[in-house]
Amino acid sequence: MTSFRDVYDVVREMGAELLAISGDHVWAHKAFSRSLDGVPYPLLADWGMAVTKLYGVHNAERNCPIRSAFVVDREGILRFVNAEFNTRDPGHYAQVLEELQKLP
Amino acid sequence: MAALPEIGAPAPDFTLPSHLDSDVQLSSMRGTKVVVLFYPFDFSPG
Repeated sequence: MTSFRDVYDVVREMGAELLAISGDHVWAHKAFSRSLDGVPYPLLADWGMAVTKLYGVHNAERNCPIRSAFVVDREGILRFVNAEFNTRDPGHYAQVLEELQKLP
Repeated sequence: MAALPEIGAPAPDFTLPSHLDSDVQLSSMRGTKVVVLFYPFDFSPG
């Protein structure tokens, strides 16, 4: 997940944070981050897929997360889900940013 | 596939290790809007 790096500044300006989760181990995340000259938001290691399953986005066949985006408000309430996130569709990024903007 | 968490309900809490070294707990970020992204693998295209 490198593409959200392009909108990270906008996300921060909206008073929001980004968390990116895959099943890779922390050492893989560190190598991945280095290869991109540093990823500014946390890459989280869901080793074992427990959180991925908790969020209902586990691809059992490949044993990895399905690319998806969730927006959580300041109270910790889930406000938006896109469980078929397509990095090639700029509209999908716009939707997430719109949701952030709507939230107080 | 398990069901997606419900919109309008508390987002399921988690604590996971981060490449930035400290663990991250979603519920400790109360007061901040959070985008939680899932992606298949490091080095996967996109």
